[in-house]
Amino acid sequence: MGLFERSLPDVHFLKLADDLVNWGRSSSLWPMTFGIACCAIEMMAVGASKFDLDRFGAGAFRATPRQADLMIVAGTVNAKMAHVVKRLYDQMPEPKYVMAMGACTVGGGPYWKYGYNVVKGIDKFVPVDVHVPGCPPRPEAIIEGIRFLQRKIMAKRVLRDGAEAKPDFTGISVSPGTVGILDPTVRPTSTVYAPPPPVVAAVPTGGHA
Amino acid sequence: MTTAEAVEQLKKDGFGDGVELWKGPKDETIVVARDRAKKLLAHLRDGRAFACDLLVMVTGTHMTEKKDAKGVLVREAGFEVVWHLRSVTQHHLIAVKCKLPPDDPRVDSVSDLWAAADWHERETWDLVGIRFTGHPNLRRILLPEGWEGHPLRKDYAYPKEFQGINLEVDAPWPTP
Repeated sequence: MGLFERSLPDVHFLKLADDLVNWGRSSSLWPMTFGIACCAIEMMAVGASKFDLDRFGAGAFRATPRQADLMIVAGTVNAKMAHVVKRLYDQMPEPKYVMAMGACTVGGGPYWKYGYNVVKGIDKFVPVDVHVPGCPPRPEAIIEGIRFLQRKIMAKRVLRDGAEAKPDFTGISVSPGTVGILDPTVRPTSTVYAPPPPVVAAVPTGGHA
Repeated sequence: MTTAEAVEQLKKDGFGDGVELWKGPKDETIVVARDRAKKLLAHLRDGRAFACDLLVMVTGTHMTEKKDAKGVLVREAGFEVVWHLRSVTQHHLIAVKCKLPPDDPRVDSVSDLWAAADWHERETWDLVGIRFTGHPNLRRILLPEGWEGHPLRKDYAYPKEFQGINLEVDAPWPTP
């Protein structure tokens, strides 16, 4: 926040101000429109109506890095493409966040051993906020990654000085004892992410040969 | 036309030296000497019996020396270039191979015979490192400019870094 960036005393009123700023930032995470490989197909699916990333304020895919807050790196990054990804990251305005989506961007994926041209994880050249594993990840996993990132943003200090608190991941974590979207014991009974009910024909049957 | 018939026809057409038939477990190939390769390919394109008007692909292989259990040499080290030709009018597919020495992998370009050969030869140069003499624009096509080495060679050393981008692996893969 410009001049007052993390320089004011840690008082309750400013905590409310920080929460307000963080609430705005985390609720309007606009991703950048670009996909490198097959993971981008899942990224498109998560933006479409079935999974509807707009419910979390992150569905407005911007066509320019100047308007984007979040870079979802979806696909294998090789040495030729890494410079392009780095340049896109540099063109984004602060505050900016990076999601490494898929096994390739997390750590090289299937090209880990014999991929002479593949960067073994994009955290070699850009700072990554959230890693979403999978090959490719399910759309639910991307939503969960977005929610992790939102909790992470909510724990940031914008105006106040001092050490940041640990983010509160309760409710979205897949770790044992908590309820998460990707928790396989939870998903089948979940109503939010259950498949939609079958469409019943509204037209009267019969009449057509 | 089968490949065996094609070789017989080629011998009638005056390609007796440097052209032979190679029989594999599943397929047959024409093997040609390096200095006659382009002449043969031009004849396969223009000869009325062959009429190979479509170049399907050009590729290359790199092979190391191989010995059997008794130490007898069964395969020499070197390169091979493969052309797959198809005739749309005659309905046949002919594969042509050419062996190249390991120290000088160089063969005539056929990009003036088939325009499709241009990018295929660039890719073969990029990944295997076979030089096509007479090619109008022989530079890398898949890998970035400034890349060192040819990745599909057997003695290729994996790069640690390229133009500031770290390509190293941090930790060994966990064994299950």
